Amino acid sequence: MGLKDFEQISALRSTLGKMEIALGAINDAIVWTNHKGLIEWCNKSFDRLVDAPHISILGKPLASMLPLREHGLQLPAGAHPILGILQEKRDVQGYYDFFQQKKSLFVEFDGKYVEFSSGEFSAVIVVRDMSEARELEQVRVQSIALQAAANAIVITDNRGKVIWLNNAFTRLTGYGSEEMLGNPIEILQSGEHDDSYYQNLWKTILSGKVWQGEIINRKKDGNTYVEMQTITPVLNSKGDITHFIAIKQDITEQKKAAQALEQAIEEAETANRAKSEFLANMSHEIRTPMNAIVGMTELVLDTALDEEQLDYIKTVKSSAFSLLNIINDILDFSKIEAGKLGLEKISFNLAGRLQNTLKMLSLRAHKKGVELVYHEHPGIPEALIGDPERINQIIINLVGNSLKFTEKGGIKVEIAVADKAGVMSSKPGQKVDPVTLTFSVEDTGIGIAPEKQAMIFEAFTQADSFTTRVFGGTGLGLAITKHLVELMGGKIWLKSREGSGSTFFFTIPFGVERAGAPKKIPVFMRKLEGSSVLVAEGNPRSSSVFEELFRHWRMEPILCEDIATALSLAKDAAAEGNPFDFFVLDAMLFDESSQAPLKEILSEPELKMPIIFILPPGARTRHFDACREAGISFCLAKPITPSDLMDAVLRVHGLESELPSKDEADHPALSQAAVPKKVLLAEDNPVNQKLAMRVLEKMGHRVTVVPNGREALETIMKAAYDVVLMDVQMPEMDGLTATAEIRRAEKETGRHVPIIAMTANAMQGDRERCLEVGMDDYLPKPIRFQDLADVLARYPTASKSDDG
Amino acid sequence: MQKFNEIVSNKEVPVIMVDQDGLIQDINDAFEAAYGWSRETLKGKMLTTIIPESLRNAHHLGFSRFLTTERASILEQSLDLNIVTREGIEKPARHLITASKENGKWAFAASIHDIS
Repeated sequence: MGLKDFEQISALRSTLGKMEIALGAINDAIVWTNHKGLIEWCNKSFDRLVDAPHISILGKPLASMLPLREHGLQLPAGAHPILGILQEKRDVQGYYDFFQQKKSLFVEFDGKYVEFSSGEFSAVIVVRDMSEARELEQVRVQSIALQAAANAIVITDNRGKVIWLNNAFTRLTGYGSEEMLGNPIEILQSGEHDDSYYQNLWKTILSGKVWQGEIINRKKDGNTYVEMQTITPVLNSKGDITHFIAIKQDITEQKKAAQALEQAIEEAETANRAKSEFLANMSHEIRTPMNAIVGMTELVLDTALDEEQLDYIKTVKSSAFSLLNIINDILDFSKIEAGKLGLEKISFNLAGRLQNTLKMLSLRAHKKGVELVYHEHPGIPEALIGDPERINQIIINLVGNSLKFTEKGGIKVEIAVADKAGVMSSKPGQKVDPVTLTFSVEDTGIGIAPEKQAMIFEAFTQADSFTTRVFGGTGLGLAITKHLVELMGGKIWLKSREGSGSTFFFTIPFGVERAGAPKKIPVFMRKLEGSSVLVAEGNPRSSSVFEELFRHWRMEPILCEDIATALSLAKDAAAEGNPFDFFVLDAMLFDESSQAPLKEILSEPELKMPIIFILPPGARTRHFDACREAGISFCLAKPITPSDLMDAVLRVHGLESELPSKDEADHPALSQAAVPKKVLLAEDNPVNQKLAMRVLEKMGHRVTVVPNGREALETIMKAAYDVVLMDVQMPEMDGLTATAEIRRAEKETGRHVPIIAMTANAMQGDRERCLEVGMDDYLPKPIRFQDLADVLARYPTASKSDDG
Repeated sequence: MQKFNEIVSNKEVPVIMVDQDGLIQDINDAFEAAYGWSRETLKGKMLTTIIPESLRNAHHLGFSRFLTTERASILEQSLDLNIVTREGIEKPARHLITASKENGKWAFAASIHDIS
């Protein structure tokens, strides 16, 4: 080569060098491969992209120097775009993820197929980092999304200066970017929160935590609004807070609605309470004169009256009682509504308490031609703890309801132990065990349609308004019943089929006194074990009750449905030399056709046996007398209770001495008291004064009447009395204060005069308050004569009488 | 400069010298022994004679860039590059390339260890 050639080479080298440098200055990575895909040359940007020394890149396959991923997956060996260019001799363009040790990039691969005149070919590829562009695009789209968001969004720097806000922010606050950008977010503060509220907020977000809460802020127009705000701190890579993002939701309307609702509920509750209190007051007000009407009517009934007058006055009395019942219902209901109905927790005997109630209900049933059957399953504890009066009330309501809708057939009241786990687990030192009883009242009445069963327990509803017109009633009975059952911790439900009757069930949990755990068969009944009993009973419900009771007492009952069958059974038994021990006979079977067989049973010596005659409910003394005359040993009136039947069975066997002593028989209301007493009556109402005075005088007591507590106190200081009857609410000095004063004075004298409270305010807690101040007893108004007589009989007559 | 002279005078390892135009000036005995080339054959030949074909373009561009910028990117560092022997076989070899400018002209000296 000559000198000139070298000069030309040198010049070309210079051009090539400059070109190389120029290509190296381009940001995009440029790489050139030969036809095999080995790198001939690349620029500096490519060196940087793949993060390798230039010299080590040269001659290497591009596919291994520039590994690409698509959709998160490494491109397989044959799928690298360089192969597309070289194999298909065409340009290839695409977007890929490129990972090298330090970073992940999103790149555009722009590859060109290049052919030279020599026939050689190669690929020239520009690899462009699109990561930032893509990020910017994402940010742009996200920014549009934030701008379009329904919630107001505002971004501040770490000192609370606004740097960005969206349209919803402007809609919410009235402030636009031009007013907010660069300004503190505190512009929105309403002054409704104290400093500590914001201090707490800042403390939270400056510690890097998210704060969420309600804030009352002020709009540009001056109105305040409530927002639910979430503030999120933004941290940089070093963990320093750089920004805060606040997202706000306007909850002003929600708050208003919630407030309005709360207020509406409160108003409704207040109105309801006022209504209930009004009803309670009204009922109370009505009861006082009603008390007088009932009392005076009873007094009139006790005077000489002709038949016509007697009839009228009896009608007055029964109407007054009906009215009183309605008022009592309303009073109960109002008390329940007002949350003022309390329950007693006393020890009682269930059967004993229900006896009188069932007798009364039986009488009503009998008058209607409906039979009431009482069936107490064995195992019910002797002494339950609960509220016997309310149980009575529930039974009266349910049976009364059944009676109202039952024209023929019968009503059966059943009580059984639903859960006696508590009874079995009685341990020493544990006073009260729980037992749950299931009560049911089944009738053969009109039934209740399924769709009406759910609403039957609601107040002021009967199955339809037609029934109210036909059957009467307040429509409160079942609502009260349900409340009472639930108040006692029980449940009530019903099963009914239209046209064939209804059964109401309810459960009540009771406490059980350990001493009186489940009723045991008394020892004396053991003597009668194995006795054979012939039972003639036409009513299948009653006959199943007899069967169960006798079997429970380990006797052997044989049942039949008419007297003729009974006779033949008795004959058979006698013939076998195994005659019946006694005979239980339903009086309802007693008709023309039964006279002959009955006479035979009564007269045949080998058939003769004691007979217990079961009379229909409401049987009078003369019926009993008639029976005795007819040679029938013992009579019992329906409904039969286990204790009645046990009494009769013992008497039949001459074992009455074994009977536990019973309370003395009911005495007529206005009979003379055994011992006349000196009674001080403190009562402000003149009508009640007159009524009480009359009643007490008729009982043979001597009465002094004073109109208030102060005079009662003065009087008792001057003279001794056997008993004080004290009204609670009186002018000048009420009964509670007067009692407290009397008791204080008595501390010096050492005396103790029995004081009995009388109050129409028959609310729970009254009794406690009365006993607290030192009263001895309590009579709720309206006062029943019998209760008054009973209470007075409980207190002794002072041996020394010093009235002046 | 010091390194350049060291390499030029080293007789233990294969050494090659090239001038500013990319023409081979000389090789030592060790070079001849290692790669089979004779001094006579290589003297005055383009350096690309011993550079594998796939690196020839890169060599021209890199060499041109150095002369244009006089900023070295591959000098005085150990580089593993193939070398073409007299038989036309590519052999891996460890290069250490140095440059020296005398009287306005660049001269290059490289030691090239056979590491095959």
